[in-house]
Amino acid sequence: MITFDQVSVQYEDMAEPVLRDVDLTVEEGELCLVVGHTGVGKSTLLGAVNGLVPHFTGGTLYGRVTVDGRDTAGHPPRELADVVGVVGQDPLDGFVTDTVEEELAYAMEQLAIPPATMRKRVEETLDLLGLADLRHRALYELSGGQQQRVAIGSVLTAHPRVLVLDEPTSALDPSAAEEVLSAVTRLVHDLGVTVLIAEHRLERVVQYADRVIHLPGGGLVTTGPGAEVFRTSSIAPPIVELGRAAAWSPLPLSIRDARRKAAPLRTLLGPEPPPPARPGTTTEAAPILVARKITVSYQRVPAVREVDLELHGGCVTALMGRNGSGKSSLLWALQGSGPRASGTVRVGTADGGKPADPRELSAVDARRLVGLVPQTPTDLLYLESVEQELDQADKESFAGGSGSAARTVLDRLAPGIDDATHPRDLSEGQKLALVLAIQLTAAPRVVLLDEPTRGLDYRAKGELIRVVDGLAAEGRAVVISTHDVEFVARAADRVVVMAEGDIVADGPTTEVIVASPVFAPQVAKILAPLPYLTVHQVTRALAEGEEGR
Amino acid sequence: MSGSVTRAAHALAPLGMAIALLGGSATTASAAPQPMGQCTTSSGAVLAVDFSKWGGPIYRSCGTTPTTGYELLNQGGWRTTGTGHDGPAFICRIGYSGHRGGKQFPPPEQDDCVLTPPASAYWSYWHADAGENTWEYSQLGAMLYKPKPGSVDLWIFGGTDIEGTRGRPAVTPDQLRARNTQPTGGGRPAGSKPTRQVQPPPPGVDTGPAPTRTRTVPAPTRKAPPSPSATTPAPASVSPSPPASPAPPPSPSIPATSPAAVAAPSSAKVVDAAPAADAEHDSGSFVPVVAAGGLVVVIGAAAAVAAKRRRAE
Amino acid sequence: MPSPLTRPPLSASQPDTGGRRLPRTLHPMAWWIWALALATAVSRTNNPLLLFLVIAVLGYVVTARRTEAPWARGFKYYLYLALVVVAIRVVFRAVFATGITPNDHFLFALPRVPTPDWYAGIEIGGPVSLEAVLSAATDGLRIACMLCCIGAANTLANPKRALRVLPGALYELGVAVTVSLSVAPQLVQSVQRVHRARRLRAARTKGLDALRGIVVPVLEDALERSLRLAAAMDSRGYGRAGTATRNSRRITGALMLSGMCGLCAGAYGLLDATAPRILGLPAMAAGAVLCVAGLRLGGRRVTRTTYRPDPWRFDEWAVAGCGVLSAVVLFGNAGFNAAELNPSLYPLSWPTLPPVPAAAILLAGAAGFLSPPPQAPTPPTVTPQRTEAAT
Repeated sequence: MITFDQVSVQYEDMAEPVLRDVDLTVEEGELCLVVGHTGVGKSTLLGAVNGLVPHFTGGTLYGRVTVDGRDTAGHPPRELADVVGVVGQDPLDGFVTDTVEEELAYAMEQLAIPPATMRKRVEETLDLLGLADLRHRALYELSGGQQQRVAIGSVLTAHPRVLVLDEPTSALDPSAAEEVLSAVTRLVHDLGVTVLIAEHRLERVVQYADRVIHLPGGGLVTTGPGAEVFRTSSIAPPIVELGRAAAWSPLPLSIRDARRKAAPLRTLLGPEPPPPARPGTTTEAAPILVARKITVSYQRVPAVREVDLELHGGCVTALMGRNGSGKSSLLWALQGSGPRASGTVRVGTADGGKPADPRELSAVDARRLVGLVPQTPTDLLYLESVEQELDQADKESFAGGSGSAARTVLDRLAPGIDDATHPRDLSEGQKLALVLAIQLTAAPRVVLLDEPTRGLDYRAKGELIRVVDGLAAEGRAVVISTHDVEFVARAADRVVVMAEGDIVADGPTTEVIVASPVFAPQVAKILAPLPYLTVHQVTRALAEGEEGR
Repeated sequence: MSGSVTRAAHALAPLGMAIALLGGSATTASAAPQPMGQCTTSSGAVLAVDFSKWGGPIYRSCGTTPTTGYELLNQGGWRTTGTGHDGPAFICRIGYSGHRGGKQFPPPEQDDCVLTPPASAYWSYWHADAGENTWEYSQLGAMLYKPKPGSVDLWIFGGTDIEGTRGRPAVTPDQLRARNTQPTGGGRPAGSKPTRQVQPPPPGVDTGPAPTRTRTVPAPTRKAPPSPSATTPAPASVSPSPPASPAPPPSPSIPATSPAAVAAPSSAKVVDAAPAADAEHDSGSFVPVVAAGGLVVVIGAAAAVAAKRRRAE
Repeated sequence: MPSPLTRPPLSASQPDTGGRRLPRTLHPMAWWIWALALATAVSRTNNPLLLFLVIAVLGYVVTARRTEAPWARGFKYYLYLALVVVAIRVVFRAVFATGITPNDHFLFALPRVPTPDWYAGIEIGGPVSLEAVLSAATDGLRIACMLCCIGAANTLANPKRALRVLPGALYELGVAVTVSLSVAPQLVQSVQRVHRARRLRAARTKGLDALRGIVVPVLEDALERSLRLAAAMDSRGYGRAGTATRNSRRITGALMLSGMCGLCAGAYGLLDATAPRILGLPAMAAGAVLCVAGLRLGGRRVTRTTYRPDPWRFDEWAVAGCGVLSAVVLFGNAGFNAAELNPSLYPLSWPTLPPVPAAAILLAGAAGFLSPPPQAPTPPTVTPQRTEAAT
């Protein structure tokens, strides 16, 4: 179906080619998972399938890419629209019309499909993806999962033979991601569509993949069945890491297979309580931040309802919940920059002074108490180089002394970022580190991170966990809002779950996420009823067990 | 929505009523209308308005100085209308109570006076200071221009360009200005007879000594080209040029038979317009307002019903 | 124009079900013709009574016939905008004084700003009369009314759907507008987001530095979004080449461009009395011919079909017709005194309500029941995702 023949892609502004002599064949009806770190060329590989690379992005493509017998060199993306359907990361960015039904018909209109056929296909697609109830709804009113299903439906109506999905679930909460992925697998099984999917959170998709295309870096590509590729790949979901640690063969990729293999491991681990998932940090007894009856509403619709929250120094709190459950609104209200209809926030100062409400302080003083990194960190970056941004941060925080305070912080968070780099050219993880450094220059005791894991790969998440641990060790209170269960299992001491503006669960990570079928990490699902959360816990328990024996 | 509209209409109604009751506010202007005889070569300002476009004469009347061009044109029975866009300062219509019952020209069929009229059809404004015999296109609006004693203001309807080189008046200042050095005809306006037809300065009639400044008013004995200003090129007539050499004396000839008329045919009669009472102004009835308010309420109610029904569905 | 659009309806539905008309969406062009005709009629009059009547009629038709779609909720913003227009007009009239006459009713005086001699034609400040305020208000009301007409059209007809009616050759234009229609609301959102985020850095929220701090991230964001949207449109087959060659594409462009020039020159010639005769009707006609030729040629090259094309039936004729009729009556000058359309406020008098124009405007309001009722709004279902999660 898809053939890459000695394909190399070279962009003008890069020294090394992004892809180098790639040979690849994808058979009809396969679901291929494309894995690799950020920046190894996953998007380039996917873009080359329908000719967006190089027709739209620029750069030079050597070799030959053919899809269903058509050479992309001679066919720009629009001429391949009837063969390849592409769905991007943020569905809202790709919507052309206003309502579900019109969006589904758009591609067919471009392909000049007769109206009667269009009518039929729209109805079929609405049923196939479970969108029939939503047909007249405005696209922006839909939830993230619904939007992504519409985006998939809108390319499916053209009856493409190939579906290319570039991180389709990265903006979605676990249940919405589930919704989208089950729709995709249904397409593969029922219609025989060939699917190419790239995804950072492999734990969500690895079980569905027929084949894995691994990009280890340097423009190379290796392919094979998941169980083989993951044995050696540099990037792996927790289930694979557990399998490697337990030396299972063949490597199980679904929870079901792993559970069947895990019975001996569960007995081996025994009834002893597992070692702590996180390094022992000492949580201070007195809370730094006390929030009482926080209410936030937009146009009289409450987003946060009378929430009480206390944050302690040295503790990393994960704030979880569906899209739109009020996580961001709560964080902004705590920082004092966002709206707050009622309620009080008291934040203790470092010198033990009288607790203050950040909303009643000037912006300069408020950020000394509470620092917030917004969901789109680039909103805070507007200068031409990293150095200018850091200097500006020093000025804003009145950080005197020798050398740049912000630079020191940045070097600790993410060493080796060049001063002259344009902030836009940084990777997602580096941008996050830069903004975090800017915010930490003011030395707040409470640090709030709004969805920092979006777009981060496993390596960058590992870095983030190291940074967050460092912040907690310094006695700061850290709150991270996220959808990423595996990240929470490794990074958070405490989990707060929000739904419809209320806090519905609040407690230690182990208690909250093991109990929930949606939020439980893979390790917990495999080893249940044992309360293990991370692979790291398992390896340590195994090591201790051997020493004890 | 319509509710707010009707509310606004209701709020406006009493306001308008109160204003209407106030009546004409006290006039504190120092300017006053005068019979034509009160204007002399060195005092008072002569106002002339050319209605020849609509088959009327050129009216002229007199007012005291200091005054503004606007006041001169809004006293003694004269009345103007501005445009909706520019306000009263832009003279869109002119009417005189002694001419066709005070009807203002151009009539609404010809110009609705909502936007600024086109440069091809509007009242252009011309001055001639005492002793001058060339028209100068006004660089100021009627409200800002202050006529000097002994000067003539002329309004003609037609088109001009911005320098005033086209569409110049065919009539000359000397045909319109006062000739007498002393006021004549008594101080009282002839109230009962608002208009009387007076031939323009009849030839040979002594209207008093000529302006003392640079030239003598020549006795109009020859049939000279009637409007030299229309034929002489007037370069830079914008600047108040010193009196042109008096050598070719402009001569107002009464039966102007010349074909050179551009804007106003010089055959138009010049008629003195005596100060007259303002034309009757009917402030109208408020019944239409009430009727319109009622209609708006009814439509608003229909909208409310429609909104309620769709909400119920 | 409507004749090529008259296609047999896809769903051969009976126009009448149990005495009530079948809900359907009216052809967007019908609403646009209706609204533009009404706006043309409005441009003719300055009579506040007629203008209020127009607003009432617009309000009625919009409430009766709008859908629940997102674009159909915007009429009240047009009303706010109309108020702003009136207010601006009044303020400008008060500040750039147009003079007060002894007969005017003095309201208040603003401090006068001296202007240099060479600028003597314009006064700033000074006394303000009731007449000036009222005439500025009615003048503003007229513009506001025309604005509301456009607003009503936008509310009653989906703007993007209306764009689809454009002939094939103007398709690129339509799509460019579509992209801007999609990105513009997002731009507003990102401005709000960035502005809010600036406080997090305790950055200044005023001045040039703040402007840069907002503009740079917002523009980067908008540019990226536009590129992603363009890429998405491309990969969904937008602009697939039909039978056209590069040459015919060039000819189309040249025809359209020269045609537009001709239309502009013709309009100038007709409106400016001093322009040479040749510029008037001949240039207009030549321009129109060139444009039509360009559209015909260009229409051949884009091959696309329309999902659920809107039929043009009796209802469409009725709605467009009653709008056009009201414009014709107001411009016809028959049966009423033209002066009543533009009553003067100097001296102050009550406006009259000329019966014929008033009836014409009410007739335009008949669109409220001549058009078919809109599609019933989809019941506000709880999104499946929420029900799942609630269990």
